[in-house]
Amino acid sequence: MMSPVAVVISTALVLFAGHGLLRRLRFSCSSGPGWFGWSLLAGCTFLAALATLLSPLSLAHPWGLAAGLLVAGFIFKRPHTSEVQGNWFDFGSAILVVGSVAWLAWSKPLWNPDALLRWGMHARWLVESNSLLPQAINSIEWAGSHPTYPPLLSAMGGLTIGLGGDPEVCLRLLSPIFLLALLGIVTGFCSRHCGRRNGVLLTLSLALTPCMSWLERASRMGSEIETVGLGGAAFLADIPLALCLTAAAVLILEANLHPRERAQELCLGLACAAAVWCKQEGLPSILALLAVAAISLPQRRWLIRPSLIALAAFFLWRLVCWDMTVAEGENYLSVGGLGAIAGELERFPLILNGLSAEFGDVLRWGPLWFVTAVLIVTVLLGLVSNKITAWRPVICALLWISAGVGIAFAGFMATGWRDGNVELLMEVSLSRLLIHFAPCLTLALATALHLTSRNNLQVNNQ
Amino acid sequence: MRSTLLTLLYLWLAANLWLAATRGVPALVNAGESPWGESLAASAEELPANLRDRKLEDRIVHFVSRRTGQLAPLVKFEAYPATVIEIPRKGLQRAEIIALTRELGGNFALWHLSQGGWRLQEISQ
Repeated sequence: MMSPVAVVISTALVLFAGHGLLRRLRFSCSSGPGWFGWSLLAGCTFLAALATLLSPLSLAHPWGLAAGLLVAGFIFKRPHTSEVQGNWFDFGSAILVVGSVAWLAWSKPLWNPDALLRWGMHARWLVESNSLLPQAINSIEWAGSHPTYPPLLSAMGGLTIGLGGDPEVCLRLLSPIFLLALLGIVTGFCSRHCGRRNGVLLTLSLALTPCMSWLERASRMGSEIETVGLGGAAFLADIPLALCLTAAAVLILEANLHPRERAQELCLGLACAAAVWCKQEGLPSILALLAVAAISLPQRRWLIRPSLIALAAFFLWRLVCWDMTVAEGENYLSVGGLGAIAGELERFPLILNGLSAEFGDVLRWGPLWFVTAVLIVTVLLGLVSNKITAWRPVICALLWISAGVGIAFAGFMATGWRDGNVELLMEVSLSRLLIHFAPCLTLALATALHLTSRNNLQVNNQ
Repeated sequence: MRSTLLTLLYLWLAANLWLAATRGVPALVNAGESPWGESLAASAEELPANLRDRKLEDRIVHFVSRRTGQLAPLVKFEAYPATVIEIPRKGLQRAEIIALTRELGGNFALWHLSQGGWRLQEISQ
């Protein structure tokens, strides 16, 4: 029973530090579940920063990190500037879904190679050598374990193992917490903009999407690759990255629907750093998100500083892991990797076929892509009778989903994994990549409902 | 237009609830079942002398059989891109498993199973 206790303690520490940090930044969020999501995000970002800075000195001892979180929580703490309503009852159905995901995670061994050989192994490095980048792995033989993968998830895993959790069981139990945080932020946004009832329904729709919470499928390639619990039940960085991107998206939409506060800019920077430290796709994803917002929304100048924070977070991590090896064919941001996007045109139809199969896979996605398509058509029809300026936030949210698809597309064009075996790579990772921006559909639908509410229609028509 | 959006939301939720009821609940109920594929049991005598040419699991079976004097039931899980093999056998010390990985000549991550025994994951790209 030590593992659940360790998970609870490490999560509580991260929440405590994040809670203090948000209060220091004077961030306001009226929803209890939303505050939970934001606190987890802020706390994890702080933990990742701490592990990044201490790893080169081999000082990232789990107990030291725990003490750092505790001290940060006390130092940052200041009186509340806004009232947080509990409204946990509205979040009950989402908690129930995440509870079942936690049961799935508890019941199933850690099996996914990325979970075992990347995130889980990096977490163990932290425990055994007090560093996410021990010098012992600075050789080409270890390139396949991807030591340059970003620190956030590994630091969280290492902290929990270091507090006494079983190296496998506690990692499994950590994963659903990120899903809960993601749903918390989504429910906070939706309830505020389209009413409590619709907020609950939107959150539940997203939570029940098979590849977000549970997934049972046979491989399209005929092999028996098991994928039950691929989403929230797997110790992978996809749901955490979706959390970071959704948090950033929520802040940008909020700033365009209501008067912007300075705290939003700072918290957007925090979400940007978290995305970059979460997964290697984090930097292109967050930059694409900011670029789309800058193009489609009127408030764009305030996006510059968060962009710079994202780049600073990226270069800090690259500086710390500068001497670590990168697996052959997997340096996507290199000149060769980017050049391959234009040079591997024969992959184009393969990737298109894979994407179309993915969009039509109801067992994996439910009707999510159908809803996206209908929403696009509805918005286009709505533009005929309404001013385009009013619909900008919805268009922006839909463009974010398109950007996510585009990034996945570019990744498959550029990959040199297993000599460019794109079909296999798509089989094992396309669903996961599309998870990153999928929650934006919920935000788009909530914003559209907000704009079509009676009060807002009157304002728009005046 | 608002009614279209709300209909879309209800359809989305209804379809996901149906999927959860028909596929998700059975997945949850069966979650405790072993995901580790077929059991492998091989006799050490059946293995050829040149173990290096044999499949990884055969080599491990041979090694564990030699060390423990018993046939070693292994469970093997073919995951991409790495092979994952569990040796659910108590009594094998860490040093012995490290010796095994040296004999196998590859890179392996070792995990001690909470119920006893070891899991080896071949580190490959």
